[in-house]
Amino acid sequence: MSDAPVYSGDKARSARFNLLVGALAPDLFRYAFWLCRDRHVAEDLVQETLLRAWRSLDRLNDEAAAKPWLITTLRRENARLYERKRLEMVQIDVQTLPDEWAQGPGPADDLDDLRASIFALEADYREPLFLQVIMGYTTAEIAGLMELSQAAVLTRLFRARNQLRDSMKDSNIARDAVG
Amino acid sequence: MNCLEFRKAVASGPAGATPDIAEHAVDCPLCAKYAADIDALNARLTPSLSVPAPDRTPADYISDGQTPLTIEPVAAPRRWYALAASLVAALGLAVGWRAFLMPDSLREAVIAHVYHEPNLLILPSDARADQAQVFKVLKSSHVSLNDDIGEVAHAGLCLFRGNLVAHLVVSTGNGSVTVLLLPDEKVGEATSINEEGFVGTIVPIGKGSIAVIGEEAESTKSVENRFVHAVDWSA
Repeated sequence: MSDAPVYSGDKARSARFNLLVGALAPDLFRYAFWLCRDRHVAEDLVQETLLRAWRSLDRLNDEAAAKPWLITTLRRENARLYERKRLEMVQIDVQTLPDEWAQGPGPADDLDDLRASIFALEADYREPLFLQVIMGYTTAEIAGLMELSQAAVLTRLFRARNQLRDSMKDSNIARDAVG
Repeated sequence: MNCLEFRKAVASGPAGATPDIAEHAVDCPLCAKYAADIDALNARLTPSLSVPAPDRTPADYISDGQTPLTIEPVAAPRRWYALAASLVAALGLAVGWRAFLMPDSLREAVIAHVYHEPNLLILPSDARADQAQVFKVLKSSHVSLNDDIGEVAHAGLCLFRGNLVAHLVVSTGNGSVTVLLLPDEKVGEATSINEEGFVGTIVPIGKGSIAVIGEEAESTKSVENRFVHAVDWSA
């Protein structure tokens, strides 16, 4: 599908677009997933974001700014979606971590438990955690993206990690009790 | 650097790794342990946060989100619409501008959306959606049904032009028919779709519309009739 019509219309433009967003697309999807916790909505959010990027490519002069631009755009798309439809939509097929995603490389139990714990975190805590751990942003950069103070980001990260540690302790206790 | 500065720097992320931090860690075992704990937790978080991403390139996303090429050369009709619209404006017939212009882009968006989920075009004939799922989707779309709509093979919520809408696939004796319930897409009149092997209609219903698309005209019309009678946006 990579030689799709719109995309192949201008090879130089397509190449530039690929250069800007190609490597970011998987992490954009992951970011979208941890924002909305629904993989189908996440794919739609990424699609909307990339379509906007494609249309705005000529204005994306600073390639170093592409990553925060994409993140900010995706964030707004997500906010717009849920502001319009209110959070009740989150109740649909969203509250369960997909079974096949509860498994991956590494010790299955540990990954399952931790992923489920992240899934259960409040969105306010989940988002800065993802931005720091996967996207590699500092708290100052996260504060800029989320329009928060740096202190607020630090607090959220601190609480997120503490909650995850607590849930991991609980999981270990439960597992030890069974084992 | 004191302990508080150290901990803030460590917690602030990768760019916070400076020589000062390394020096402090050597002198302060408690802070060194704090940093090691964060590193260890991050190492465990990375695979957990890295959920599998779809195997789609940017090109896939873009092409899936646009009207396929075979439909794109509607440049000529678009020019015709523009010319016609100019004449209408010149004549001062300010009627139904929005209703006149919207269906074209809406029609393209509908077809693009159907292409976006190709797996739903090839559902087995005996596929049936869970009734509870159908109910949840309709409820979340603020839609109720006052009449039977037939066997639903799939019911899901989709992002469509900025709104979450119900995407249903109804089984018929002649294949599946896709129905998008679009409470936020008001159209002036019914618009036919006959492109790329798809036939169907975007039909106005009250404050919104429904898009009904299939591969065979008779079954598509039959499903359209059922939904026109059944859909109620007031839920």
